[in-house]
Amino acid sequence: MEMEEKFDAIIVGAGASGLGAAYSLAKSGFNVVVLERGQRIGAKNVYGGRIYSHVFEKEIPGFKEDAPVERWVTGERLTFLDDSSAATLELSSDFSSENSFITTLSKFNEWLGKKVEETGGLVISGIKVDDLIIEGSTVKGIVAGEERLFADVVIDAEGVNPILAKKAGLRGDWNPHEVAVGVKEVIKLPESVIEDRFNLNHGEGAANLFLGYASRYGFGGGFLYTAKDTISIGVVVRVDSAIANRISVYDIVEDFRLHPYISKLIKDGSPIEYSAHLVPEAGIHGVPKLYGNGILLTGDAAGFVLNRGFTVRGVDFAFLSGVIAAETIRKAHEEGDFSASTLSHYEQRLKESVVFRELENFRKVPNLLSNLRFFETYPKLLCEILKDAYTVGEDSKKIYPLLKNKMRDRVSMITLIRDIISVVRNL
Amino acid sequence: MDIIVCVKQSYDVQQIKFDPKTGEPMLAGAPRKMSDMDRRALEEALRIREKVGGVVKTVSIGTPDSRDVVKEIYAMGADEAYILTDLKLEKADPDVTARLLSEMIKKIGNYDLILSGAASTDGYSWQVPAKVAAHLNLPFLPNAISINVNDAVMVDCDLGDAIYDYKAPLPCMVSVSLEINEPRIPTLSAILKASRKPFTEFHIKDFEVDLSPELEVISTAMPKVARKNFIVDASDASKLDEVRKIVDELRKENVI
Repeated sequence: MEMEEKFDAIIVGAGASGLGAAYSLAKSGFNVVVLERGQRIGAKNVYGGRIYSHVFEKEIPGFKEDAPVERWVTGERLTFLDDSSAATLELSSDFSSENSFITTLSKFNEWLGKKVEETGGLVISGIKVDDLIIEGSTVKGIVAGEERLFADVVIDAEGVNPILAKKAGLRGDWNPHEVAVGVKEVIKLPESVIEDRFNLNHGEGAANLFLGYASRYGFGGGFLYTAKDTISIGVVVRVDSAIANRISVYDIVEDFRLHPYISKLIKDGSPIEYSAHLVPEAGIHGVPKLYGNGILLTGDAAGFVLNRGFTVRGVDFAFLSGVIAAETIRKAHEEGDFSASTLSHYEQRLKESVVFRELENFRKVPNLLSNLRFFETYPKLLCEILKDAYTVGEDSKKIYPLLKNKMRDRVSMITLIRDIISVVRNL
Repeated sequence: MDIIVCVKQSYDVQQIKFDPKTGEPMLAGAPRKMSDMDRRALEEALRIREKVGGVVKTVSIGTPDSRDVVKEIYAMGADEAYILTDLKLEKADPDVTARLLSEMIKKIGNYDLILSGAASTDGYSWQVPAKVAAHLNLPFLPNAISINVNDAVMVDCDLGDAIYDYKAPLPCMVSVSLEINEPRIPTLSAILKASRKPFTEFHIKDFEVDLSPELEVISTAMPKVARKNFIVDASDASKLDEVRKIVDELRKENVI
């Protein structure tokens, strides 16, 4: 057996958080290795949607010129769907804001991996980490097959399925109401067709979320993002809701694609990709213990995803959590101590960061979004009322009697007002 | 024994998507991997080195995004890797490839045996090894399923109609087929060591080679599969007879 090399840090998982940590550490001269289970970086990624760019621009010089951005988001849409119609709120904004872009996470992470390698970090794909080396209560390294690798600290960036974090005693399994299953299809269409259909200039993109029919009126929703010459569409359904309503997520993606509103948008497109993934949905309530002796937890494994109903955010949080983990490790390295008490700096810094500020700000959202009225009653009501209001017959109806009539037996005016207030307060 | 292996970074054919409209492969950014038969050629070289000693060197050419192949070459255990990458090589045909490879091999010099896969996973032309052998004026034994080396090379060649036993003096060129061996999977520590091992880069300007291809590719497309695409609107009760007809038809063809 040859002499075992000891690393400054071993990072498990080449996703946005693992690569963020590796990039930041490698840049300051640390000897790091990222171990990725997929055959290549990005092989296991599914997300094809919007990423907020601020933290990347701050950390990676020349980000805007170099990153695989497909379109900058200028069009925001929230659509309420019933079985056959749709009511859409649309915001068409200024191109120059450039604060979020659309890309494929798989390509994006591949690019981040290159950045890590350029700065001197090692990224190795096709390696499954089976276990942690734990001595006493301190993590000393990892086990992959027959081999053991040692480091001062392990960053657990393994993603939504936290096998190692459980072994390290940092967290347990997700509960069904804390995760959602997302299924995505990628539809190929010419660039110009996408721009015409979504009213976009060249290089501009649209992000569209859907409530109601998309998740079959259960907890969840649909999404549509325009990439360069593809459109990602799909459905995300909370696992408890899928179980309770006996929903097969694969079927409802089909139904979503065939909905008259969606099928027009993707007409003549050809499906080229199909994939599925779990998404943390518990907000701040899903955040477990974030550190132990010799270990830090980042990204999806730590539950750093925020769903506000009309927008989801996770990739930039993941990256930032990696960067903060790196900062913590630099401090621990200076002090020569990688025990939990030094590594607690990580949680402290995270709490000051946008990750916790946002999750904390929207603490009540997961509860709010546990209100089925947002997924069934209101999308249906909105579509029906607008349909009737715009239907001109002998005599047109006034909105208020229409609303009262539609609400009968479904929701009381008081509940409606209460719900509106809670949305305004908490979203 | 000094062995030189020609190793190509192919497209990972199983991962390639095709444009459903045009049938063309979408190659931009498509994942790459070491060509299957070349991997076996390298494995065979390493096994010969383990048996009789010597040095295993590799030569590779391709576009700049094929450079990662060196890491894999070293992780498997090669001693020295030589690579030439250039964007101009995107359209390189078997002829250009063989000319460049043989020039690189001449420059490296000192070899007893040259190995390569019989065909690449993506191009699959089966042309390059024979052309390399011709340029270097070496005996060529194609499609080896086993190789034995002492002061000469004994090879079992699968030529389709039969297995032929050939013997050639050294130096010579042998192309290997998929059946020859089961390549090793590099260990983590081998990958780690390989990742920082230096390699030698050649450039097109190092050689006086004509880069104009002799082959013109007219089209690359996936085969068309014709479907009957017969849809019956089952919500209409009067159409049920048609459904029954289809069911009978499928029964007749033993599909259901």
